[in-house]
Amino acid sequence: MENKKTKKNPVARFFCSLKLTITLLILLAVVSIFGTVIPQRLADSQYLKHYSEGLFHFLNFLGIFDLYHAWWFRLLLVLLIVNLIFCSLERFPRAWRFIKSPRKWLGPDEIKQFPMKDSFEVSSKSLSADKAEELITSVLKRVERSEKDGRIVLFHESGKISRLGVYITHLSVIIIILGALIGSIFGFEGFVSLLEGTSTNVIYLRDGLNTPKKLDFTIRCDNFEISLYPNGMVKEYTSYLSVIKDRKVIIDKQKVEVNHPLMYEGIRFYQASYEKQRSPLMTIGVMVRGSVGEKVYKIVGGAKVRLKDGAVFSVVQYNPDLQGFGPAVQIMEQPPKGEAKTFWIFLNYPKFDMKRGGEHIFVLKNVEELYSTGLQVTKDPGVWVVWLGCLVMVGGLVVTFFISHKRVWVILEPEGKKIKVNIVGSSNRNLIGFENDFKRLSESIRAKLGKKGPKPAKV
Amino acid sequence: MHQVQMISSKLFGVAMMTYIVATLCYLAYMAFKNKKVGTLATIVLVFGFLVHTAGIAFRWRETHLTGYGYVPLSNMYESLIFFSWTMVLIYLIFEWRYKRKIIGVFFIPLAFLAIAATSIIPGVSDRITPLIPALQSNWLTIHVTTCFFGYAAFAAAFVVSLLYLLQYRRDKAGNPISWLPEARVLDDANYKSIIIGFPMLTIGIITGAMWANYAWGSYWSWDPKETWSLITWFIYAAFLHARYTRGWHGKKAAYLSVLGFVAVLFTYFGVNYLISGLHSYA
Repeated sequence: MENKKTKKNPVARFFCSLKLTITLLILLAVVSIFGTVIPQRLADSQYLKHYSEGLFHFLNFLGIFDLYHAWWFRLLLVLLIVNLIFCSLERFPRAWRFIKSPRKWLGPDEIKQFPMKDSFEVSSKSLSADKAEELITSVLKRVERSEKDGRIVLFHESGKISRLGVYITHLSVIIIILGALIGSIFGFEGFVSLLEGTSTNVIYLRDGLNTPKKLDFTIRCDNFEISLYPNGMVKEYTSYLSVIKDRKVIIDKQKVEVNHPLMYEGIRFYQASYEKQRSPLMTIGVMVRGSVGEKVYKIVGGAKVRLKDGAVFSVVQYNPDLQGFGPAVQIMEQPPKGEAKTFWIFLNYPKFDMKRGGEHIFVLKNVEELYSTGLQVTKDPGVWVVWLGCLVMVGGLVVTFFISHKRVWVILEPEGKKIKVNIVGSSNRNLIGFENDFKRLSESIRAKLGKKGPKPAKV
Repeated sequence: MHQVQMISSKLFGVAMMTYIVATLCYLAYMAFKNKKVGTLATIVLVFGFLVHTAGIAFRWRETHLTGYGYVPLSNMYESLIFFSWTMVLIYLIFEWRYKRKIIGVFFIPLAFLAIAATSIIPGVSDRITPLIPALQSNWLTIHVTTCFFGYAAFAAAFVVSLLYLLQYRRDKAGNPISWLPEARVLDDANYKSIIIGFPMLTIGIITGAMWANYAWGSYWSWDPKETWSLITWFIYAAFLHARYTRGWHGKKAAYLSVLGFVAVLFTYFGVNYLISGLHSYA
């Protein structure tokens, strides 16, 4: 419903226009499409593969590659919000009047404004005005009565909150935008990669520059696991994370999986990715020939270990399946004197190295793949404001669409030997549905008053 | 792993054939205006719907028998089945509320198409495969359910809008189509479908955002699927405002409704097949 064109300044008139709303919504829809077709926020080099340098710089200047954060996209959003506020402020007082001062009285001339009505007469001989009023009230249940010069108006209404639905919905949009703003000002989005068994208190922001950010606490990855379905598909990625603050373990080995983040001091850690380390962690036992007992070392590829007698050994390479004999590690041993020797030891054949006849006997006891877990780290203090806005929006939509403000007036005018009865109805939405309700209502009022006259006038 | 017998796909096959028969019955009703034929059409459709429902229940059971156990809403096959189901349900509610069967002639073929698409679209398979970690969430059920009820309501709005445009043209020429409801009834049905679809889509987007916040650490990341659902939302929001604007009533609003459904289809299929993104699995 466009309001009467009052004398307003042109800026206000521009922003109060629903045509502007429709234009902005469609414009937002159209430009958003570009962002889904052109990949967003890639590295410059990726774009330069597809576009010439000139075109790239031009499109980059326009913000096409980060469209949803471009100034003009935000401008469209701001315009929409301004439009929404102007529209709401302009129309709200009218809606509020329905709530605050219901129109209980309808004058004889005012009846004409309403398209839905029914009128008939009853003889005052068979029915007194008081009795008629009582009968009508029994049909309408809750009524408000006003009387002037013998003319009685019975007013019934329901669902007047429906008048506010639009404003509740509009308010919710503003709340959501506010929540998003709080998030972008006071929150951050970053990531951190943690090798199993290591800890850190520094994460890196996703700001294109990977700016380091220090946290007030230390996060440690105790373990990382991948579990598989029988068919080999990944079932779950699991990190076990601990939070340490002031040398105290506050959260101990909490399981963090996709859909199950860890939260501490408003900062959330999400399982985002993982990386297999190039070298696994190998457990190698070393015995001196002829003696009992062994010494056990846990090392990764490339690390050197000095033994008691001065010999040095290191892992040259790891092979998960050497010629069908299973996991194997190639060892290089440099005795204190003489030449270095290179040989293989096998996980599945612990006694294999005895036959080599060396001074030391090496046994591969365990091979454990090492992973580092990739964690998304975010803080968003605005997120609850956003959820509040969402809740208000759903409530607003329900009120707007599924509740209608229905009003019925029954006017009794005693005229000599007759009482003139006028029934007037109005609803702010769902007119077709209300038409039927109104027909039924006026029929039952007619029936109550013992009037079996002509069918109520059709609209 | 033992082979699980897929009773569900057989039931879906029966439902699909029943929808063809139902469409023919509705056509016959339109041609002969015979009340008995109309009742028969509804009975056939309800039968198909019950078989369809049983199929979904069996599919659910089969996911458990396979050992993966999930609500069957997690891939293209299952979503098409569910989409078709929601469309039939929405139609049946409409028929019951409005006591009009004509829309069925145009709407049931859509439900048929959706279920038939499971065997038409290449790469859509009825195999039960386990869920990737991101999909193992209760949010999946509520997110997908609300989205598809929204989509189904928009599909109804789409059909009604096309009929409105047809009727509107003939009405103007002073020669309205007798077997179609009046233009204003169609316009009203269009609006009513959208006021069901719009809150559903809104809840779908919100639950999606809540889920994303849990799984990915951010409630909105302008992923193509998210963006397209927002585009759809913008278009229907424009529609809703158009109804209160002079010069944007009726015809233009109907065009917006048609456009909105094109956006729905793109959100559903286009994003999966033409654009890569976080939602690439479903």
